[in-house]
Amino acid sequence: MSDAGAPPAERWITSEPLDTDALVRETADEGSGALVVFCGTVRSENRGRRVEGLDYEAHEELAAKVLRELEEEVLEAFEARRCRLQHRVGELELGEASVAVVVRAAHRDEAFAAARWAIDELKERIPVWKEEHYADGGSAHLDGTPLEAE
Amino acid sequence: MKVAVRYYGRLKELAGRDGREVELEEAPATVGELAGRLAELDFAGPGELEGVAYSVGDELVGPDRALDDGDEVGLLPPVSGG
Repeated sequence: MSDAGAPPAERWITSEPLDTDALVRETADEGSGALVVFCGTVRSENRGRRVEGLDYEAHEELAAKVLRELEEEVLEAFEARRCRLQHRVGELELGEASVAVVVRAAHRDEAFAAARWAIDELKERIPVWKEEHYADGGSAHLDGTPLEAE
Repeated sequence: MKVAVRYYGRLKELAGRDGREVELEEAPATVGELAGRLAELDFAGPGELEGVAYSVGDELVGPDRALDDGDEVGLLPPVSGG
């Protein structure tokens, strides 16, 4: 059953271009001296094949929940003061951002460590699937990481 | 009892469809039993569902999870987000 009180999934999973400026504004915090913004972007080559674009598909409800929980875990596990995570879905062109990680902490060590952990965990846990479209006309779903039920 | 199944990622290609409604006669039925049936209906056997995880609604569940009428069940192949 979905959680009736949960914020809308679009807060974490969106088909619109990711707006890191908005996430930076949203996480504004005068107690933080460090801000790390990481984006994953669509690369033009993978395993020797020329990539022209990507499709990302998500189980949106579950993916939003995973990102919401990850944000909370980042705040608990690191001395981070703010964390926001977003993943894009739909068709993406080369160079567009597919994922955004924004972390603020008092100092840079915590901010970098928390952001690094967040993107690594996200890739293991978010129910999102990437399909690459190639210049030679083919397309393929990439091999991935099996999800584990808790 | 009826449940709605949705396939994700490469499972859509393998099955040639996005999902299906499944009528389950015997109760209680589990997610694992449902997957066994789908393996025959839409896939070339259980091998194609190796490494697949399951969701009911917005919860990740194990194969022992009992199903209720109206559940939305997701079949989630290995993930490649980020």
